[in-house]
Amino acid sequence: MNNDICMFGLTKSGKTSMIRVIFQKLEIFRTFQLDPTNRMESVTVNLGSHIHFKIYEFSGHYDLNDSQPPEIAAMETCSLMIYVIDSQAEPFNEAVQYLRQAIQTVKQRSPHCECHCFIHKVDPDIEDNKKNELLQQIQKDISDELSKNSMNYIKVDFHVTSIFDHSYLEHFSKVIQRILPYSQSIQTLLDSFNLSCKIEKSFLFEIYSKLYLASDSQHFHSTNFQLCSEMIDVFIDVTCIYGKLDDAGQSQIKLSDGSILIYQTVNEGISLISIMKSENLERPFLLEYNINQFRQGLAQIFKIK
Amino acid sequence: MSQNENKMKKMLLMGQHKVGKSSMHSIIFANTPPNQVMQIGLTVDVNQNLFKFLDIKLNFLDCGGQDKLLQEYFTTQKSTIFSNVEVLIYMFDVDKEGDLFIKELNDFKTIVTYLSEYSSGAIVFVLIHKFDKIKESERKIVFERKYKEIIQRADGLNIEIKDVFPTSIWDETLFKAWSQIVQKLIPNINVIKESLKAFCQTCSCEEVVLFEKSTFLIIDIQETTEKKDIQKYERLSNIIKQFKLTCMKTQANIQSITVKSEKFTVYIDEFTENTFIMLAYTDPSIYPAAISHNVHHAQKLFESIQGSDTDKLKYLIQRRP
Repeated sequence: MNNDICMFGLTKSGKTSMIRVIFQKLEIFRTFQLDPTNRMESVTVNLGSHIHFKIYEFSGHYDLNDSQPPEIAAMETCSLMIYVIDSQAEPFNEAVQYLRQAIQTVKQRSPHCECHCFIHKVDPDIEDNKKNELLQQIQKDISDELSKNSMNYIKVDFHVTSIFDHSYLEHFSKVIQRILPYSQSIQTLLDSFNLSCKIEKSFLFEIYSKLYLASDSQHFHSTNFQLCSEMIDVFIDVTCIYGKLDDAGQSQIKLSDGSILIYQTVNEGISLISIMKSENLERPFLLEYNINQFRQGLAQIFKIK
Repeated sequence: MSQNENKMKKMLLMGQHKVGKSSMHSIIFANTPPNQVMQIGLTVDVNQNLFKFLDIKLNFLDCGGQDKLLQEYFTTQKSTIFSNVEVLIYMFDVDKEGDLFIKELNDFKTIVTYLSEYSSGAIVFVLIHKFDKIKESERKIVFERKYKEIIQRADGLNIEIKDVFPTSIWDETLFKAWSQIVQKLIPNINVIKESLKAFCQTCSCEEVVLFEKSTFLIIDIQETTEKKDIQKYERLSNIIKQFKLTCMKTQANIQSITVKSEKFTVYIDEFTENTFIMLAYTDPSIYPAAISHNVHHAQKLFESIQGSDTDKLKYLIQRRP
């Protein structure tokens, strides 16, 4: 078993859109023009120079009872399964049944595969109580379906996502972290870095996909994540205008509430973005020293396979 | 009459039903990100929006585009709508062809005709919108074809079409068009240009750009090297504005942005009460702190430019070493 990911979900649930937007930089407004996926597609993902895995996207029409050898082989290498449900396509019976069947099929080939469910298209204009209703309803439907089929022991993690805000990035990141062997070690390293510089929150991002590979153990706030992932765009766009895309560099953004965002290239495609209070940034040389320490620590972690 | 008492400038925003007038206005002025404009309802009748750009008070009349409203504008409300207009911004939908395009052109001609009767000094800007729907390879041809038809319709009328822009809410073209439009409205733009030029030379940086604070539209650009690609500044407006919108969710505003690599340093900071300034250097040895010092030094001079006596300013500029 490798560390690959397989994605299932009915047609038009949003699987291809998410993959194209995250990994192929498709503009969000162009996702409406995508054709349905008709056969299994695979995408090779490279995050920085150390992280490689494949995502196998199964068509919404995929007949789970009719698995061909390449599809079987794909499922056998997967340690993680993502099922995407379109929350705007009620009723959910068909989606829920297909989920149950997909889990059964994948677990046959890869018994230790983790199951994650994206409750997708929960767009930003939907009110919070409606979002909670949807989450509860779908969780219950799935739980009932699994019970009916004596699959109570199967753990499914739920994520509420939309392509129109940062939730798709946040949750895709959290799922990817399940297949990375280093997340815990990097978290410890980040905790130590934060402490040395009085930093409130740090994220280690892969900048082309904008997925975060690790974060410190401080509480996760969506707004912090949003600001940091948007900062990547500022850095990349300005760098493209005045230099080349691959240039390493740093950036600082000061905000009116006294916080400062610090972006620092760590190595190929990987950057560290931290949030701190600007009054704590009194000794920039200290920050630079600690970032170098962090780089070295990270290089050590990546060496251990 | 004191210099500070400037009257409101009336800006007409017109175009067919659902072409995107209100969405566009909302993105540039009221800080709505593009993926939330679906929630903007249909404009019924005329929406008035006041906006202060630098010291200039802009009064936007966003006129609903449904046919029956157009009929009212052309008859009962004719003089109310078309008098005392400073600028007309007319939007075409690039997707409309054949009869629909002809209808747009005819409405446009009627509007421009009435405008020339009631506000003979008004200037007209035309936006051909939703260009994201056209394939890259076809954009030039489509634009040139439509441009010809539009200019021809206004031929012979006593009105000036200042410019025609291809625009889309999904890229920087909207910022480009609006930067040009607002630049025409700034009364002392020449003084600002001269001062910025002097500042750029004194600082020995490659580029200086002055942005309006809340819209991030470009007021002026000065470069010490040969004229390069203007489009990049419009992309900067777009990028910074996007980030600003995310910040607003946390109730915070941008104070300054620095991006530094081996090959360049870009420094963006709050400047006067309603502007931001950007400096770009390719000399990697310059420290952001030095840039910031120069900027704060120049702030006082620029504060005095806005809404003040032009002669006093010219004196101030000439006095600098």
